[in-house]
Amino acid sequence: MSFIEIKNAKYSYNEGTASEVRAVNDISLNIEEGEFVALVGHNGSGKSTIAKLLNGLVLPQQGTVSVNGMLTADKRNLFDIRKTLGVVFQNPDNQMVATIIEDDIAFGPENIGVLPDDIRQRVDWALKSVGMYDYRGGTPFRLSGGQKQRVAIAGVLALKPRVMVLDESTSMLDPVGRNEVMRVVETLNKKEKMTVIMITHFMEEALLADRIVVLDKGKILLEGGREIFEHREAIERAGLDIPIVMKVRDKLAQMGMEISRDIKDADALVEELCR
Amino acid sequence: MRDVTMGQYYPVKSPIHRLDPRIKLMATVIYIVMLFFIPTLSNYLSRGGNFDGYLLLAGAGYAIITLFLLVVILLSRVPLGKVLKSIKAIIYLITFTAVLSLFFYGGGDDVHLIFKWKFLSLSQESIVTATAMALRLIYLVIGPSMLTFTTTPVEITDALERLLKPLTLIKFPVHTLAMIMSIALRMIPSLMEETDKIKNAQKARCADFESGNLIKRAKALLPILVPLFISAFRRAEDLALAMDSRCYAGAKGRTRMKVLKIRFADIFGFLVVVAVFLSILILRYDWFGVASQILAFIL
Amino acid sequence: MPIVLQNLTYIYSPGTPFERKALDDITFTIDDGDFFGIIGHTGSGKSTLISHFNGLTKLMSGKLTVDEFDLSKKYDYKSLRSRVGMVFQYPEYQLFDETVKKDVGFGPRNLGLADDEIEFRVKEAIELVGLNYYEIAERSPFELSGGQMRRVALAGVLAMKPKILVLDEPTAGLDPRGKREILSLIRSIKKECPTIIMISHNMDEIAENCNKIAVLSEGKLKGVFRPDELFRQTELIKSLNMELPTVTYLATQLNARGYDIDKGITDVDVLVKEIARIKGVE
Repeated sequence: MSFIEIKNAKYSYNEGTASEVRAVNDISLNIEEGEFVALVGHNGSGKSTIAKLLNGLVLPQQGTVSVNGMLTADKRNLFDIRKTLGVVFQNPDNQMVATIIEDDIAFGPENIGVLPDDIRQRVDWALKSVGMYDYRGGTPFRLSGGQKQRVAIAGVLALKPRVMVLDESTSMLDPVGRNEVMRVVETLNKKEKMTVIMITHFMEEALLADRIVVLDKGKILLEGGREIFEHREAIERAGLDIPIVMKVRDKLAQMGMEISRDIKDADALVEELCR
Repeated sequence: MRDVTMGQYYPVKSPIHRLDPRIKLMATVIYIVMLFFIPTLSNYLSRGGNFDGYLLLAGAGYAIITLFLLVVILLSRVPLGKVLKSIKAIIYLITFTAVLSLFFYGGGDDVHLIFKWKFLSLSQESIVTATAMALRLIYLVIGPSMLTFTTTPVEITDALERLLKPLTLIKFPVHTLAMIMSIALRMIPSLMEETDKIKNAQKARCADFESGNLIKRAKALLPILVPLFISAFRRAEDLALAMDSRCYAGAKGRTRMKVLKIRFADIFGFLVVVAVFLSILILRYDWFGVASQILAFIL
Repeated sequence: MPIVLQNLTYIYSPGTPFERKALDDITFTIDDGDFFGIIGHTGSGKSTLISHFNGLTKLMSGKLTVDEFDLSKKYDYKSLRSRVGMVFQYPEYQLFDETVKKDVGFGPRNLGLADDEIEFRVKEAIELVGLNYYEIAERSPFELSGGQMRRVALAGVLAMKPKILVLDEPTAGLDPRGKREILSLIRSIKKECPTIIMISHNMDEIAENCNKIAVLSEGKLKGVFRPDELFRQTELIKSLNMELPTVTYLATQLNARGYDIDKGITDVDVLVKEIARIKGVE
């Protein structure tokens, strides 16, 4: 049994009406602990719905979703599921509950009844993990987008989850902010062995993952490592870009050059070319 | 854009800042109540008091309260200038009321008349009344200001939640209200910023918010209010999802990271306030005949 | 006629302890027909700069002329704002009216135009952004998709028939297809509205579309460059911690490793050819 199992899940908005939208149309996906999985797709491909299915904010109309053996459909599991699997959303502004940052990080642990001294420890640890410890006594007001999202990540970390889902968490950030967030996410996956599910439409971010799942119109189109970028037409038809680094690599390979496929970013390509 | 969530809070470390916010909140309430236990002259006379008795009561009463306030202000390390600035907002109201009572004493016979001109009459009574009224208004503003100078809105909300906890016994939604207040405080700067953005976008399309009569200007606000409301609802929905995801389930089983502890200083401070209140009451109701004795002694 | 800035300076809260120079002695010119890019980190003053162009921010110090408008003198703000159309970030958040038709007509109504002129402009603007007028005119803007809403917001500005269009991060929040479509739309609008000014964080977009790029850093203008010129300014780029377009980044890195390759390459195919050349591949 995998840590996260989505079995033949189906979910439609406005089900049964004229404006029904089949957001998730028979998706099955297994994710093991420690994996770094990227879910990519154009807007409307169903990827954000999956985030909500994973922690039971939304229940599949058909099929099942389970986290660590717990079905989301069983109300009694929701608390534990949400302690195990945390979600960071898209809008940096709309996830904070409190006026003071450390109070907001404490929100999660407070909800699950952690004792005051332990909450303090978790808050400090979470803030240090995302590099925002110095800002703990301040307000979110003057923070940049990247800083706000890091605070949001800390707020989820304080619950000590084993899985972190990032639902387009970098879409509203500038490149600097995106970098900040991606560095934190990579560290969490590599050092804390946290399972990361990254929902994004930025292909450069997807490249960082161990496994990439391409969604299109509610179904899984492609799944695999970086070699999926071979299927250029399919990816472009799905409304996505081939990362430029991959485009360059593929064109060079077509010209007969011996060049690895396992390239995760521009620096890696440069290294490969300089060998 | 100013950080509205901090309101008037003056960020400095002082014994007053460190006091438990619940104590400060209760003390403020007692303070406001005690101000009203110093009655107006006409009220006092109509209940059988005499002019000199009133002078003693009001004089001593306001003196004690002034002393109390000065000590609080000094201990709080908030600059006196800032404190006085808080009166700025109502300075016109105070002046207007004072001048009015100065020349229109409405409490019966003004025994100690100074001069009279047509319907205006200046007398010892009216002077005393005007002064007392002005003082009461000023102190009514300074007291709560000291609360907001030394206590963050978050602390006040927290204190309110904990003080009102007994109301949960009658199913009053204390926690929910406190959460609402806290989230509102959090969202105010964001919504203000958004209002600016929306306003600019509509101005870029030649929207005019300045000219026209009241009705026209009210209608002109629609292009700001509609997007703002929609945005507020969107934020609320996003926030609800985030809260659910972080296991929010209402007050049940909830703990708090910041535990409010009553310390000796808090008890001491509270007792001081109670003492001041009691002394006002003693003067007011002539308990133990204290007031009459002092009066007799002076006269 | 172009936009001319001379020694433009802007200070927030002057004379208070919170005084901050948002713009410091900025001088440059935007010519008719330019697709002018403005880049710089958050806080570099980009937004303050563009809000001067349509008079939203009052000129504090220096000279600024937009077409025939001299912003240091009195001018008719409605004329200026219909000449300079401004589309802010996430413009779909400003939609408010009951129907798409009414919302797009907001600008023309504010200009006091005749009803039939308004109707004509609304129809034209909606078609210009690639939407079908008859399908969409009577619908509520709030029942449209995100991409459609953004186009409606754009139409609302185009209905004022501006000759200069300022866009602040037009592709913010869009997926790759959405980005491509909006940029292609903007390029097609250039025929109607010859001068376009675009703020963007996406260097690929800037490299692809702009003929001139102004670089701002902490309120100061670091220069106005052609794309290929800009990406060869290694020192400037390093000092500003700027992101290069991916293609150019690869070229620069290879160049830094000693390969004989032009640092300023911006096109993928050119890059591939060059790499093939230096690696001796047929």
